[in-house]
Amino acid sequence: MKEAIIELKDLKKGYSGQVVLDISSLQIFAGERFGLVGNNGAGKTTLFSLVLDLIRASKGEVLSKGINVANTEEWKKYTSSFLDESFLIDFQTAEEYFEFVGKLHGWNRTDVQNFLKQFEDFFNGEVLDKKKYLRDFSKGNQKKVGIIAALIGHPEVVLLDEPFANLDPTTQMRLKNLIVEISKERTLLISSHDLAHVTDVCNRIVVLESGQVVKDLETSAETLKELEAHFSATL
Amino acid sequence: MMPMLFQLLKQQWKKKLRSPYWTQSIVQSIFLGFFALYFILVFLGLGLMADKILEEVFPEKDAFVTFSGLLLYYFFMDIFVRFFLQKFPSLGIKPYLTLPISKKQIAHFLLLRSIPSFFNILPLFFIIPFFFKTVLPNQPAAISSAWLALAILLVFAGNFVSYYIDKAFGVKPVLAAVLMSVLVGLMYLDFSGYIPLGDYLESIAFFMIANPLTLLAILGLVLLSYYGIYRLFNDHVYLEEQGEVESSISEARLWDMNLFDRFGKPGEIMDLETRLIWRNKRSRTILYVSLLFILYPLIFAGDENFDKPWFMLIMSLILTGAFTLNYGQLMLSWNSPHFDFILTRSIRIEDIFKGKYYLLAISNILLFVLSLPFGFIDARFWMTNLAMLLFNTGVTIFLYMVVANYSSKPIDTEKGGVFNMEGFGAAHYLIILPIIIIPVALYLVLSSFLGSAVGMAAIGLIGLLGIIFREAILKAIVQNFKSRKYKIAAAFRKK
Repeated sequence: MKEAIIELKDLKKGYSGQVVLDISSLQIFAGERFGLVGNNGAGKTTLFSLVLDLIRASKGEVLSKGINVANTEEWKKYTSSFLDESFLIDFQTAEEYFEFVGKLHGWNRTDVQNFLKQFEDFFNGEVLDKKKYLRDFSKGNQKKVGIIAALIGHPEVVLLDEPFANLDPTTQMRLKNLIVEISKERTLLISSHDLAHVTDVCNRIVVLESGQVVKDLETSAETLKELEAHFSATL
Repeated sequence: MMPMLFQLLKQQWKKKLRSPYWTQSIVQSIFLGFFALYFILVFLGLGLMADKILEEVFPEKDAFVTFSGLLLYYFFMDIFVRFFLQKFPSLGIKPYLTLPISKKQIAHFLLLRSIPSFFNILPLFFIIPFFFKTVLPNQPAAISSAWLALAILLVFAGNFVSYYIDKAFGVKPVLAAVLMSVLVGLMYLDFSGYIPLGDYLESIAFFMIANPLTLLAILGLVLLSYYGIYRLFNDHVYLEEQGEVESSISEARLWDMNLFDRFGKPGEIMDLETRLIWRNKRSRTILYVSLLFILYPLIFAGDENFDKPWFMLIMSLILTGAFTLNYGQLMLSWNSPHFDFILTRSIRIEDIFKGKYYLLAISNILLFVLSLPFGFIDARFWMTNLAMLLFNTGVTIFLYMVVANYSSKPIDTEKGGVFNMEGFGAAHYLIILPIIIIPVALYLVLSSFLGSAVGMAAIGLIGLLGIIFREAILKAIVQNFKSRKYKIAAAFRKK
């Protein structure tokens, strides 16, 4: 029996009486590439926010390596994430930001620089040595920075919200390769509206609808068709 | 053209009404309302009583003569005051650029919108009653109307000249400082009698009133500065020049120095925070303003309360705590744009509060050192400054940390403005009361029984206790933060 690295137990989140997430049980196993799909308002971001202890669960708990994320900060050492710009420090340059994140994981400047070398293609010359603050970067370049920063410190768990959105086609392809590459030694949680991309890179897809898990699929050749059928059914 | 201007005006008005910051902070609106009403009443009162007051102060001169002589003097002061306090309109321009509205119309709109400003309306509350009570009954009609025209033209000139300076140099605070020192220098030369500047300005004013045609010069100044801003807008209407699109930064801002590296984890936060202060417009403004506050007691020099110890204590509170009081009161709001980063990364929140504490403590010490010269004016300043340095460091900072836990709102750190109230709640106004009342009351009570020295020592002692037990206090504040963090984070996400 595999060990679940992240486990949602009887998890509920509601705002003023309205339930936005209601999952009785969901286990995410080490090494999984876990894809989360669903329409706007289905609860994807809510789920990620609960895993990252950004919002308080109305009921139930999220366990990371068996420990409730709300009770400890141990998970922060092996969990990295990029959901939106508020995960960036907008008055830093890209280098400063990478270095700062590295410092939090005990890396020095050289460690960070060596680490960044392998992503030169991914950055496409638009990120480093730019002499401008992150707030002046385009959305796409901000996303590149956020995604790579989420890999600093060799985290075991990485959460990415809509990683493909705002990226140019070339970078999307590079990101797909990157995701497959990096997930060899870690667990990946990705949410996306792009069914093709998400089925390409993930080996497990969960569909959320009105806060509930309606499908939980192991990715196969038919998965994309099945998902497309599912989302066309409501048309 | 007019209907389009009207449309734009309507949309700006809606923007104001519907901004969450406006609707959320009723307390603030009421506060500002009272503030405005207070000034209106003061100006109205002054306008009605000016003749009596001026004759009291300058018994040898006619009130009309005295005041007219001050008009141009006021104009120069006005430019200076407006430059620092008035918020000049700059449109959230992006959505309009692609619509079929000409740049010219946008520029004219921005210019015209600066007219209904409190800074232009307020002087009228003085000018009009003064005109009807003092000028019109005593002067011939020609002189009266020339006087009124001059007074009103000067209001407009003040508006557009400082608008021009603001737009042309708004990004260059160094220039503002130079301008100010020139103005202050001229005032000093005038006061000390080296150059009778006031006399020159007085004769010019009278010449203008006597020769109404010269008023065209002022009108010319209004039109010239209007045209100047119009050109600026027209030439720089592109987004990048409005700071909405990426712009590269000068190397100077990219220093590679980590000042507080040796302080470990809290030191890293201090380095981050110093960059935050330097690289964001609002915090940078606060930094400059805090330095200006050093001159603040000079405003009260000659005031009858100036050498009363309780009043000196309040001045010392502001002298040594200028940065803490201004920057520190938004404690966590400064981090609102990257708050999720802080919550999800392995940063100990203890280190954040510690880093902020030490940074503010250092600012108190620096301001204390900078304000040492006041001791030469009155040696007691050394004592009150020391007492308040300890109090600010041992009490004030902690009070603001508690306020931050309960009343933090997101702010746009890139928006400047001295009167920018974004991020403030009722608690921010209320907390000022204990910060002032505790030391003053403590002093007044103790000094009346046990003497002045004991009163001062007691204030210092309270502060010292706070400093000695800082670790324990910070720990309690951090505990409190942890129980409130979801609420704070949720508030920060509401932008």
